[in-house]
Amino acid sequence: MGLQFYVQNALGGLAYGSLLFLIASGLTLIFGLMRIINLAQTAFYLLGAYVGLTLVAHGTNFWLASVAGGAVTMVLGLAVYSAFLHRYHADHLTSLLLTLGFALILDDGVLAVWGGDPRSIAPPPGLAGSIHIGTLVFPEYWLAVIAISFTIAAVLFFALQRTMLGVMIRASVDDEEMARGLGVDVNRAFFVVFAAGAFIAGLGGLLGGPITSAYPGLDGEITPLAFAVVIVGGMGSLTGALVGSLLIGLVNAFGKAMFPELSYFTIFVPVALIMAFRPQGLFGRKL
Amino acid sequence: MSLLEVDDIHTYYEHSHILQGVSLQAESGRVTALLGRNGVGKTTLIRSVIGFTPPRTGGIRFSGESIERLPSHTIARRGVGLVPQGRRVFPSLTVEENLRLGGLPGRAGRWTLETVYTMFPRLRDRVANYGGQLSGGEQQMVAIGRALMSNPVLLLMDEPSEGLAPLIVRELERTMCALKETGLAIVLVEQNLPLALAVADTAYIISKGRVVFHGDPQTIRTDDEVRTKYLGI
Ligand SMILES: Nc1ncnc2c1ncn2[C@@H]1O[C@H](COP(=O)(O)OP(=O)(O)OP(=O)(O)O)[C@@H](O)[C@H]1O
Ligand SMILES: [Mg+2]
Repeated sequence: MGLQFYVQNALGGLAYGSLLFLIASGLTLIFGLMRIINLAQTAFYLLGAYVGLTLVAHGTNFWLASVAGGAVTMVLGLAVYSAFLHRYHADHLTSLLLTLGFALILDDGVLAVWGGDPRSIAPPPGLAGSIHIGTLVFPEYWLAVIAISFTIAAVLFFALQRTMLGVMIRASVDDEEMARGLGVDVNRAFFVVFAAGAFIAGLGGLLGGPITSAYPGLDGEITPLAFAVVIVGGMGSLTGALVGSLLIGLVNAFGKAMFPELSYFTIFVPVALIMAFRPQGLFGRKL
Repeated sequence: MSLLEVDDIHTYYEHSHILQGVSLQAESGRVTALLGRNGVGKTTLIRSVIGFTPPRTGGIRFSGESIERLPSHTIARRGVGLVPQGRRVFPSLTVEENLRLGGLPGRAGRWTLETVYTMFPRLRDRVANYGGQLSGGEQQMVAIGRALMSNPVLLLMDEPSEGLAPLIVRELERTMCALKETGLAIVLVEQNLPLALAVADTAYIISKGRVVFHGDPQTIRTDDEVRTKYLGI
């Protein structure tokens, strides 16, 4: 195993981890704030991918199509949130079943509209090549995905740490009732966070397409990884989602490369360790 | 007409009938003390007023308007400030963010970051500290400052002296007297009887979810029977 092996897998792992962050950031914030375990978060990703690839096939610019995929997902997510979910915040079982049902409906909808064949998605023109440094090869698109995800992470951190809306959201995660008692319209914060979570996951669909491609069932494959991220990072923590995503991405890449027959198992080694020794996750608050 | 008029409210937690027909009034520029043993429903009364646990029956009027069916954030924005039992300072927010959040209702008045820091100079050295890193006394200052930032006309204070050193309690007493001078109405729940009697203009004693005494705080100081029967001291 030469240097290229490590570079390749590290970069692949970071790129995949970056995509996981786009899903897990919403997952962790939605749970931290509303106590909703959104099982449809990866279905949002898949829907974003299909909407995006359809637009690209009709000549839309790749980046614009990604944003459009996010927007469509966000509108659909908000409709479901407003119609059903918002009533069941504290009710874990009901909200869990609701999001599971919604994920199944989305899956079937995707299958009905786009069919069952896997769709490969080409990177946007200009990013399809690789950068060569000595004997090492870096796929340009992987680097781009990492850069975009880190930019989105930076925007999220800024919004959460430096804006009044962020203060309201953090306060509501800490103590929702007290926030209400100080005049915070917590429901508005819920709405905004659910919208942002759905948008970013949907946006990630097409962005991740060149790496994951799109096919029915992809969401079901990503869901355990996304939840592994949230458990490792700590529920409700954006920092945790970022660190957890990169960690799980790397473990996933190296696990698959080094122990292909154990690939799923390797992911859950860190999860089991965290659950045993730090149940609140790396950056979560004490349970 | 009083600023706050609680009229025969019945408040429940699920099936437990906690407040069983409580009525009380609070006036501007006065401290209304709410006394009683542990678990008699004092906090539940505060929670009923701010809308955390709305009464099932009965009415609550604030500035002449019914508020018992309004959501908490609307009640807060109308001018009800809350210093809750246990302080409930947000641990993920800095001192300054805690205060700025309190100012969210955007009501104009004398209280700003600057005037809060003038009242509690120690907080100025702690602006960037997170809520979890403060001493009990500092947390109490944040909790009070945070409530004042909305420039309330009614301040609900639930056991503000709980867990504070005697010196800090003296400070708290001065603070409450100063706030009263500004015309604020204060509803004060206190276990610390000397403190409560020192600042209160009128007092209620609650027992088992009902008001059993209402009158001059002096009476409680002098009447042994009231004290032993309802306060256990
Ligand atoms: N969330 C709740 N669910 C069910 N019962 C509750 C809840 N909170 C309080 N109670 C019960 O309601 C009763 C009144 O509680 P409350 O907190 O109002 O008392 P309190 O007078 O404030 O007491 P303390 O002096 O200890 O603060 C108590 O018997 C308590 O056990
Ligand atoms: Mg109490």
